[in-house]
Amino acid sequence: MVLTPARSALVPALVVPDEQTWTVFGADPAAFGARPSFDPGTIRRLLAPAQVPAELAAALRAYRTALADDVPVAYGDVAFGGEVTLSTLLEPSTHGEHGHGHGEHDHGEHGHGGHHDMMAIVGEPSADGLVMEPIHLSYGPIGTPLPGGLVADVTLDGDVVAESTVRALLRVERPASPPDLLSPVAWTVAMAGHGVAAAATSPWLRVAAVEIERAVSHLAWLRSLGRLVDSQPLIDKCTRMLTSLQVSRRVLLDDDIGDAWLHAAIGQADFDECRERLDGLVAWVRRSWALRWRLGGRSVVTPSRARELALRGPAARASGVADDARVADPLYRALDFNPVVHSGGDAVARARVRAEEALASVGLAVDALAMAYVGGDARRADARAPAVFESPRGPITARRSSGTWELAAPGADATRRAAADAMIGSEWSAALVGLASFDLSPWRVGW
Amino acid sequence: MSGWTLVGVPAVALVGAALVAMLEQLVAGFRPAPSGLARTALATLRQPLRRPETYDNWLFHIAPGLLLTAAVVALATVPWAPGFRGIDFQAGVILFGGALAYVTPAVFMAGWGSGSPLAVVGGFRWLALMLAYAMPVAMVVTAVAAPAGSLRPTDIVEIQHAVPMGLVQPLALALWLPAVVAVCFLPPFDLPQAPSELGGGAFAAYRGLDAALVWLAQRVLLVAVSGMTAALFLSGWHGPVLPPALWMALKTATVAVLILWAGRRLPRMEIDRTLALAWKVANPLAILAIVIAGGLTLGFYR
Repeated sequence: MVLTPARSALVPALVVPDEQTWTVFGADPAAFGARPSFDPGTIRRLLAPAQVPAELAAALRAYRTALADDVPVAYGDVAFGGEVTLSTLLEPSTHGEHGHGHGEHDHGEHGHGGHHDMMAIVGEPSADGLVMEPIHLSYGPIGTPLPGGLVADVTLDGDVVAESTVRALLRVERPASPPDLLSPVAWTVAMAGHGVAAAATSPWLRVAAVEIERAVSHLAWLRSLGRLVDSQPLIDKCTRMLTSLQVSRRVLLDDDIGDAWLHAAIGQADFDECRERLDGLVAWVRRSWALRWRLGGRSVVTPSRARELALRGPAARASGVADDARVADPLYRALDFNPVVHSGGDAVARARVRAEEALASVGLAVDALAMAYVGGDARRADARAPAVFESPRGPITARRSSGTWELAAPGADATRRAAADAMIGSEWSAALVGLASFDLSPWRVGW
Repeated sequence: MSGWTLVGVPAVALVGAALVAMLEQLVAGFRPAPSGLARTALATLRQPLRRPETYDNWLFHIAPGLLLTAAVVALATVPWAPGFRGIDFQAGVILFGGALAYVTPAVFMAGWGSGSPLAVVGGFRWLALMLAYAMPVAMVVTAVAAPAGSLRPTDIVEIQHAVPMGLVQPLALALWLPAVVAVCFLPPFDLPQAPSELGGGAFAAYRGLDAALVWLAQRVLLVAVSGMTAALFLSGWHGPVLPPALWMALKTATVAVLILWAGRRLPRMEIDRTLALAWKVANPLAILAIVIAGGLTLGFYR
């Protein structure tokens, strides 16, 4: 065992909005000496961007009353490329007040208004026939392993979920910005095909950038699942993988594109080691009996139910529905792409799909970089941006007509509905595992 | 019980808790730093107490004291060496189990008294879990006491001078370990607090002295159950060359490290599957353990 001096031990922190968002933006809270903690009694630091949207500010203010008075606040800001930072995107533009940084998160309304996406699902009380006093509680929007801005309002009958509402509180109001901060590269690339400044100018490079983001997103989600079920091996493995992937991600999002850059990209990224480690992670997820015991049989969505609910993306692919927009993309066809599909439909299947997709994504990124390096078919007519992109959470579309954007994430609502539905009748911790397994976004897309 | 009990047992509790805290850092891969621990302890103690707005907040403030009392009484029953123990009671292992039984109301009072929904859920979970795991603990105690023909821990240690009970009754040891880890509400059985699910659960609202007492009680509990495991299953102070008390300390530390290591390796247990495992597997196997113990007693220990 390699011992680290206790001085470098990470400080338990409240991470706002959440560790997953920070990671997808390219910065791990560990770089700020923090690790997420969900117990207010143990939290010794608050890590937040300088701007916090109104929907989170009120919750943050309430949460801070539960923390010790002397908890220091660290303001970090992270950027996923160019000048787009977490702060500028979190800054609300049109509605509600917002809490400014520097310890003054005391403005704004609590994000419980009626204009949010609300999906209330009501089930039967527990089957044991015991009449219990219902317990109403909200899980989120901060201080949980779920993405910040996602709220589960539930009614518990004992410790069994009798009613469930899952809300996505956040919305980016700035036109021409990625509307979902949990997949900023995919959105930027999707919108780049329609007139916004491109983050990746070569079609092959956009494939590489989007695939690395997918791998980062899936691994960050897997780590948050590890935090939920308190699986330290899973957290450690994902953290190691993310550390090496972030290097290649930063290089791929650099604007300086040329042969020398590509050499650097391929050299620095050290993809071989990445793939080897990811292979190990996929094998671990497949064989870990403890993870199977914890996730197996939770929130099962059968293939017919997935079709009925119109699920899309990884959640559908874990239920045996081979729905993947990349199949129709000529660039991916040139890379011999095949979607990862599992048939279990439970939380284990969703974890396996995302772990295997992360591995496949690194492979696709390597192949795409190789194509870019040899100049493979850069002038192909079919290298145009496709109409539908496959983001880490499913298909997304971006169109611009008459000066206005039409952005949509088909399947996002259906997935939220399926997640809320799957909580009903489950014990609280099983319900949370089921909810987390859908990898919901707290960002509402569409105008 | 002697004059030593009143001074020695609290001293063992404090030193043991500090050592456990350092073992936690070691198991997590960090070099133990006593000064950092002291700073954290002082910072916690400086926090003002919190008073939840519920009718039952007196339960909330009694719970940490009850928890620590239960842990210290359990620790007092552990035999560390010949003539070196807190309470050498004729039915010592029963007293040990009885002391642990008070952990159950203490944790439930903490959850109920704090009044927040997730804390109450933590308290409910704990009651259900302890109802399921109390029987295996009691039956395993019976199984290891039978060969000795005595419920006195020192007698049970003495009968292991040749062969540790863990080798003779591996099934009893396999049932005992998870059950006592559950009693300590340590990972993977940290169900009443479950930070990621319940945001700290039953103990989330404690600050200042209350929080420090809960922290201390949990570590004393770990020392107590590790010590009793060493005494009941690993032949206690018996061992070559080294002094008896040192053998006992080494075995206790080994069990504590094993428990802490398993807690870091395994994901948190899920309450419904854990209860199913307890009622459908652990309880029937505990009865089988008693049958085996009866056979062993008749065949080898008479």
